Amino acid sequence: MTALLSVRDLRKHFPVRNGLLRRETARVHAVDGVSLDVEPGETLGLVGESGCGKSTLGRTLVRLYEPTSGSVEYRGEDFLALRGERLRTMRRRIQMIFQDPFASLDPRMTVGQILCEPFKVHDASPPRERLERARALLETVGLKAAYLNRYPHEFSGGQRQRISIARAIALNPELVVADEPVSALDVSIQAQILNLLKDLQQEFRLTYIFISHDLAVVDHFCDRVAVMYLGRIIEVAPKDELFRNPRHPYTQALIEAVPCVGAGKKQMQPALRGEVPSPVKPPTGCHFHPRCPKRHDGCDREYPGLVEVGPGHRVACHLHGSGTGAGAIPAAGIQP
Amino acid sequence: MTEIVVSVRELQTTFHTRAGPVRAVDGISYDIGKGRTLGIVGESGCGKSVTSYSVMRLIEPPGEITGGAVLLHGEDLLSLPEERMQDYRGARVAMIFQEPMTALNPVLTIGYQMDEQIMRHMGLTRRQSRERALEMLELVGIPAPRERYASYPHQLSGGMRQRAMIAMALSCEPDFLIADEPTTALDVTIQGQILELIQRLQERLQMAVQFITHDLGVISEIADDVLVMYAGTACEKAPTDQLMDAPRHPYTVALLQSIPRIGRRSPRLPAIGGTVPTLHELPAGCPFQNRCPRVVDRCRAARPAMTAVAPGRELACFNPVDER
Repeated sequence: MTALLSVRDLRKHFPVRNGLLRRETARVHAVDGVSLDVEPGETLGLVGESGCGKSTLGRTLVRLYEPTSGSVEYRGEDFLALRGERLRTMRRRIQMIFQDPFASLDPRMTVGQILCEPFKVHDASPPRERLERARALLETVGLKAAYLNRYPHEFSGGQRQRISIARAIALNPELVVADEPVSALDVSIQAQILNLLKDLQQEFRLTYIFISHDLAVVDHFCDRVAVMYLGRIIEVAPKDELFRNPRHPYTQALIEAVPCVGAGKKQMQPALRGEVPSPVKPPTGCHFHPRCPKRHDGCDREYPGLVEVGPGHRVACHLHGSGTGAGAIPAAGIQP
Repeated sequence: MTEIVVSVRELQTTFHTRAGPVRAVDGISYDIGKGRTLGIVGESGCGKSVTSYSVMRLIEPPGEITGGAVLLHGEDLLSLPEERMQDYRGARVAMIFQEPMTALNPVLTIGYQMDEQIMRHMGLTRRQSRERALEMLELVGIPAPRERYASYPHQLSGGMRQRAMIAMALSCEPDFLIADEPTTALDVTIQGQILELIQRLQERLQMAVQFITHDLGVISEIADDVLVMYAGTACEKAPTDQLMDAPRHPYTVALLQSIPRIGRRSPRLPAIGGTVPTLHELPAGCPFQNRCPRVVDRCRAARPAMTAVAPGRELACFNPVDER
């Protein structure tokens, strides 16, 4: 099977400018060498804490941001080289859903106008048919067609997210990048939206990249999960494998830190000390080493590349034999 | 039975809106004992935050507390003159917020703000209060407290700001702490650190804690008892493990089913249909009736009152799920 999307060593750095001349004084390494493949029809989860670069990665993949370097191939075609008409055609196939349904819909447009916009921009259907298609879209996402003449402010958060989803699927995309689509919603509404996204995936054979900080949602919704830390993917695996057998100390801490319903009141024990360092000056070697409970001598010197530790399970950690570092690990460094 | 610190009785808060008065909190009652934590959960607009602000008497027009009592060691906070209440706020009752900048002044240093509060409430000199502030900053795990004492809030990270706010709130050793979604804006690993901190300080000061959150996982791990709210009313109250294992109110049941949990797989989440009614259009009778799978005729006619069904357990439902 060929990958739908194939990303190689993608980087997105943002300049930090200072002073009168706005000279670049530093760089935020938001995405710092990410490689991954997305198979058609799957749901790939991107998880990590704020500032790990998951949203920047998502936006770079749909070319809302132009990457600093690296390559993105869509069905074997160099997506980053596309310009003009070719790019516009390709954009129809890749859509995005945002976290904040209050910010992502133009408050001055009616729902009808919002939903006709994609057809207009891409000249995808004759003007008189557009409204009809908008009406059909609303019904697909579980809203009344009568809502076409209303404005976004008349809707609740969950309803607005349905409108955003309707807009995203208007042009029959293949790939949808959903950036925290349920994070701003109450739990009962969150479940409705997740179910809707699942239904649409089946109906339209969509591929999802699902960005979230909520591991329980990711476990429920995704097929495969990639964990990010400071701009890099540090572990990727099928979700069952990732949640049952996390190998990277950061993934382990992240899963342990999720509060569990029904676990009973307990003596809280922080899974990790310290905070995520600044992506302007990421730590040397493995970015996680300053907080890692299992770090050893080599961790601050060399970045461990992703290595295969099981079927489809790759991890970037010196504990899991990455080329040069493997032999050098002192026995004491490997503790269960 | 532990000593009761706070007793809220039939609290009612009304907002006077253009479309008429709405009861954001309508007849909420609970007790919290010394060293105990009551979790209050519910979705946006259920009145959990308004309850907290009412207890602190921080409701401003068009809102108004229209009934009930808030007894702190038997004394009704709602009938105190405002000056007395100011003596209590920050000293005997304290509050921490989701967004620390709600409580911190951006143009004053952390140290200055702490000193102001400590001097006022504890009657210490500036030198003594500085000592106390540094001690608190250290206690909440802020590295280099001396530097942080002289920092402005924006110079701290989100997690550190949260710690600074907690240090300030607890510097006068209150009997009662209200924590309003204190970890909601934080990353999960930082959330763990802050929850541990709140718990550690609670043990040390033996505070009664009212912990507001929408996150049932957090509630599960930190609360002794849980109160579930819906549309301004209480629907179920129970010891945490009982509520999580054997919920009886249909809303609690639905809420618990609708959240995804790690390792528990089902292709679809049982979502609660519809949305929370706005307070303007609340139906007569039970506010949950239109979304409730167990609705019976009686639910449309009258509103069920909170009734004791077992020790420590109350329920407001005419057709609850059977006891297991």
